This record gives sequence, C-alpha cells and structure tokens, in this order.
Amino acid sequence: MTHLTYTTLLSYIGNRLPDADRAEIETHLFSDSCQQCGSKAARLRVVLDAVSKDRSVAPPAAVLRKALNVDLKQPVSLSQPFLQMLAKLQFDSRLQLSPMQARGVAKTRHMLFSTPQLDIDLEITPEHGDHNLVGQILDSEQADEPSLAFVSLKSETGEVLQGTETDSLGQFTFQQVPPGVYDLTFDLESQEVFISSLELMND
Amino acid sequence: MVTMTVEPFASLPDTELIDACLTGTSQAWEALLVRYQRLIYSIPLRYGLPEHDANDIFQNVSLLLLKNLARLRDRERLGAWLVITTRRECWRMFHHDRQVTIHPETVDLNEQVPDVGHSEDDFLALERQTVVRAAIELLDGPCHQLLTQLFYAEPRPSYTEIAHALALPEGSIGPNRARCLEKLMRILEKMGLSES
Repeated sequence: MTHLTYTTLLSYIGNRLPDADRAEIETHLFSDSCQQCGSKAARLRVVLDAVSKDRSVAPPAAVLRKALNVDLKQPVSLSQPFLQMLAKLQFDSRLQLSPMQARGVAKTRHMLFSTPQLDIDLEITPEHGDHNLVGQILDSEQADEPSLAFVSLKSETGEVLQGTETDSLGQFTFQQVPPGVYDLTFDLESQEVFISSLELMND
Repeated sequence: MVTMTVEPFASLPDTELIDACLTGTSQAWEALLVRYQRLIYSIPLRYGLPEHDANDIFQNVSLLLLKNLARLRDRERLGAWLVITTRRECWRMFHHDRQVTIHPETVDLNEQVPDVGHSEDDFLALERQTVVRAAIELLDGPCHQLLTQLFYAEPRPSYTEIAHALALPEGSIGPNRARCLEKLMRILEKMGLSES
C-alpha cells in the first residue's frame, strides 16, 4: 500500500470510511507498522484535537504592541541575581539502613537534599528493572507560594533525558528511568538547583 | 536599506527565534511574542483574573521572557517555561496584590484562586492550541480563511455557509480542507510540533 494522503487520513480519523477501506488503512498503520504514516496520523490527531478545544484568547492589540515595543539591543537589567546552587544530601535511607530495609521489606529509597532556601524530598522505587522517581520541593521558609519549577533529568554529559514541571504542591515524577547516574536540575524563578550524580542502581 | 519583515521568522522553530532575538532582531521578538500571545494571555483569564490583571501579567511575562532569553536552558521547551512563568505571575498577583491569606497546609492553587477547572494537561493543551493557531495565521489567504472558518468561527458554520462566505463551490470545501491542512502540517513540522 502506498503512503496515506491527508485526505484519506482525515476521512479515517473522522470515521467517514467504509469498513473495508478502514481495515486496509489499519493494516498499513498497525500491522505493516508504517512509521511515516503513523507519525503523520498522530500529528494530525494532535492538531485536530487542538483546534477543536481551542478557547484561547488573544490580548488586546494595544497590550501586545506595548510588549513588542522594547529595544532588544539594550541590555535588560535583572531585578534579582540568578543563583546556581548544588543541593546537599541530608538523608539517604540506603546509607542509614532501617530495620525494614534490613529485612528487605522496604523497596523505596528515600533521600532528602537541601539548600538554604529549600528542601527536595526524593523517593526512588525500582520497578521492572527501571526506577520511578517521585519528588517534592519544599520551601524551607514556608513561603506562601508553592515552589514551581522545571525539573530536568540529565545524563552525566548534560543531555536532557526527561523534563517535567512541578504541580501546585511542588511535586514531580519521572517514570521508568533506567539504571544509571543522573543529574537533576530544578529551574526555579531566580535560582537553579542541582542534584549531582544521583545513582539509580539495581541491587 | 533592506527592511526585514516578520514573515521569514514566523515559521522558525523556537530555538532559532530565540537566537535571532539575542542578536537584537526585533522581527524575531515580534514573531516569538505573537506566537505565544494567546498562551500567556489566556492563563490569567482561566484563573478568573480580570482583564486589567491579565494585561499586566502579559507585560510582566513578556519582560521576564526578554530578561531570561539568554539563559533559557531548554529552549525547545519555551512553551512550558511560559506556562509556569505566567502561572507564577498569576499567583503573585492574586496572593500579594490582593492580600489574600494562604494556609500553608492547603497550598493548592485550586483552593486559593477562583478556579474554572484546569489541570497540568489543560496547560499543555493550551500550549499546543496556541502554536497551532499561530501556524494557521501563517497560511496563505484562502487557506487561512478556510481553516479559520472551519475551526474557530462561532457559531460553527455549515459547509454551505462557508462556501457562500468564501465564494467556493460547496463540494470543494472537503478537498480544500485536506490541502490546507497539509500546508498547515508542513508549517507545524518546521516549527517543531511533536506528535506526543
């Protein structure tokens, strides 16, 4: 079968094809595993889904114009210095073996890292040879805003492998991380915090 | 003297637009801000903030973007950065300017801010909607008009009404829709829209 056209894919996604044609397309997409058409269909679904749910609002023209009216060649002064900080390990359940772990009951490793401004709580649970990471950023000063951050999981060479945002409670998750040594980067508003050389190893 | 227009920049991926902004190209800054204008502006409105607050937040976030352009580490995730930065500004506006007392044990935005029902997935969807809408703006006249009618006109017009409005035979709407979507997909591919 030749590659699918957008016309065909639109009819397929819109359920406007006879059963026989539909079956032929599904064979091409799924049994023949045509990556090119599969990717094309997936992107088309994303776009159709986006336009069907779009209730976004544009700013008034004057508001946009004001924001555009900046001189890019003038250096912009930063109101706050940008801090880069390495979080220090305060607690690692693997190093402070609890009776539960000694008996092999507790699989989850608990770690606590901290900087002067915040604590980062990590729980690492092995699953099917990989690891699930669940963490939470806790503000040391009990600030009235949760710590919103981008969290990046990086290889030792600095390549970003996965990225996520903290939720409204400062929590984040990385699923199915293979064994290895990683860096975690937390990009907060005016500071960047690192957890360096986090080892995820199977026992 | 050759005057540059915004068009050549409008379909560039974010990473290249940021590079161009950092060289002081105002057309790139315009293209970048126009691409994400709806994303930034819609978030405060979704939190129930009034239009004048949304206007202020739009200015604040634009300035923060400008300040942080050079140090954005994951430039391909600019949309996500804008979402989180805009949300921070919304929370700041709500908590600080209005002197709302927050209870640390229930630091949940949904309990603290007038909420219209949204989740992290909603913000991801909003980011995609913004980029798709920006790509539609880059289509040529006939395709732009057709897809705007098909996707965004309220109330949603019938094929007959669209054919009448655009002076097209009704039977050509379907094939033209596919052709224009194909053009749109090519623009989005260039802009770096992923399938996930």
